[in-house]
Amino acid sequence: MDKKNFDDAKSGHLIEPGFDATGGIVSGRRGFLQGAGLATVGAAIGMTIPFHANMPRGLIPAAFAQGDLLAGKDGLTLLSDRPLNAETPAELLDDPITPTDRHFIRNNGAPPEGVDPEAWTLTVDGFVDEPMDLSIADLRDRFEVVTMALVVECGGNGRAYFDPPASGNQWTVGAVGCSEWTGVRLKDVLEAAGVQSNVVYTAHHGADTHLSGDPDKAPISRGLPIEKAMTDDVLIAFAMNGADLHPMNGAPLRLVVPGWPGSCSQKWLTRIELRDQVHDGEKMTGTSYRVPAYPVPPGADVPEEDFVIIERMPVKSLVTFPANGAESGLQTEVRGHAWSGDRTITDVEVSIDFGATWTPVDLDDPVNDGAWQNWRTQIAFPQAGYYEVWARATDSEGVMQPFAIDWNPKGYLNNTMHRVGLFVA
Amino acid sequence: MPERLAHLIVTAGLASVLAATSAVAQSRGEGEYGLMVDAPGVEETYYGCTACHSEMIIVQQGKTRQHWDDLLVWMVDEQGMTPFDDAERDVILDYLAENYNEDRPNFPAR
Repeated sequence: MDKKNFDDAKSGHLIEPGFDATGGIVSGRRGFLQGAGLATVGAAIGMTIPFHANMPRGLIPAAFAQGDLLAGKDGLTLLSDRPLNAETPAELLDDPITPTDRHFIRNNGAPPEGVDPEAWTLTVDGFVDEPMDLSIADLRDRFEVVTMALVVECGGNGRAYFDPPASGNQWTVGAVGCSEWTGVRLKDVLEAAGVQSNVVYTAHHGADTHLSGDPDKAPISRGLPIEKAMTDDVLIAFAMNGADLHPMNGAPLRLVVPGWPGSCSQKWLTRIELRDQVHDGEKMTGTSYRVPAYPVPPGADVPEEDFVIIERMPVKSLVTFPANGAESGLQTEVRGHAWSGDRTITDVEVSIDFGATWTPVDLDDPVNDGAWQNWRTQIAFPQAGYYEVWARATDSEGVMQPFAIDWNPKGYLNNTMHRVGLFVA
Repeated sequence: MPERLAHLIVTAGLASVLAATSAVAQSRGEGEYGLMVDAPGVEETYYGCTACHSEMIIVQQGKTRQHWDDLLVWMVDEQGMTPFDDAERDVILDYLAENYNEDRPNFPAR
């Protein structure tokens, strides 16, 4: 296949099925809210529309203008506008620390409206000695403020490649980021509240609202085993890359739980409850963020009781330069990131011959626990032609990225090798 | 397709690549029903579903009729959805199973 044909086919993707960053899907949301009832529209706006009788059918309120959906973000691919979900093309994740405008968005419900950071309160309760209501200023005053680079990856990152397809947002590779988060350690706050001896799990609650409009339903409420919550790198964060959190990344307050499914990192955080049982909030139960307890063939129907909660995310890497489908000279730098939940990366290797031979790269240490590790290498191609750069990481437990997907019904934990096609001339 | 590439696709378990490639031929524009394919049942499906969520999340999926059925059950039982009446429910399931099945005939090109 030559370059032109590749470009023609690219949005159908011989290498990464179905994706280009230009996102034809993004333009012109004529259908937006067309089917929504007036109550839904009003709820989304946060108030009534006095002149609603004059609104042409299908009119999109200007407050929902398409350009505003991804305000403050740059180059993200919109997967869904309600709930809002958007991922970052791999080549836009090239920075060692992910800029705020390149951090993916995964919403389960509708974000809170009219957020006032000054009035925000975090409640810590449940099986604690001293229940607490803390403002963000209280958090800053009472606890050590730390800044850490932390990986947040959606549990369903890579779902788009499942066959048969798995239900949910069809993330390709870009539902991951490693930004610098500033906040206080969850552990310090829980210790101040006094963790009672019967506590086994945290329960996280946020201010986002359910898409059905039912105020009694939470869009998502997940938690952590108390042992994980009490580690040093789980933060209650109020800043991202030295500035306020982005509204779609949970402003003004969120959890950041590196290396575990992003759903553990509750956004718009209002309450942390300590429980004497595994939390049973929305998307903790059933098959959400769970995989079968044993390997299954693709397409298997697995009984719900055989699913177990996902904890750490598996070893993975990304090639962020060059971009998939790029033209290259006979020599190029290749670079990217690698990470493994609760572990470090010991080796990253690349192949330019479809996996026949592998060459180790120059791999940085993580800047702190919970950060991804940046890597780079120089590659010389033997002659002009089409190549694929493959990368595979090995973690501190000796576990390497697989070639094929370990299929599971809900499409989680795809950590297969990233492949980048190059036209070398 | 070069033999090597075909082999790769098979070994990678990426048969969906082929479906995605054929999707390029589909229109990328939006019609009266957003990104949903204009086919029998689209009106019921579009208005029935987008009261709560975007059609963008629908058109990404590839599910059998049974799995679409299971999803509607879940939405009613656990997500507070008002049930469709039986006739409308059948029309919607037929539309989804025809146009958004596991072979992904209309997987969005993006």
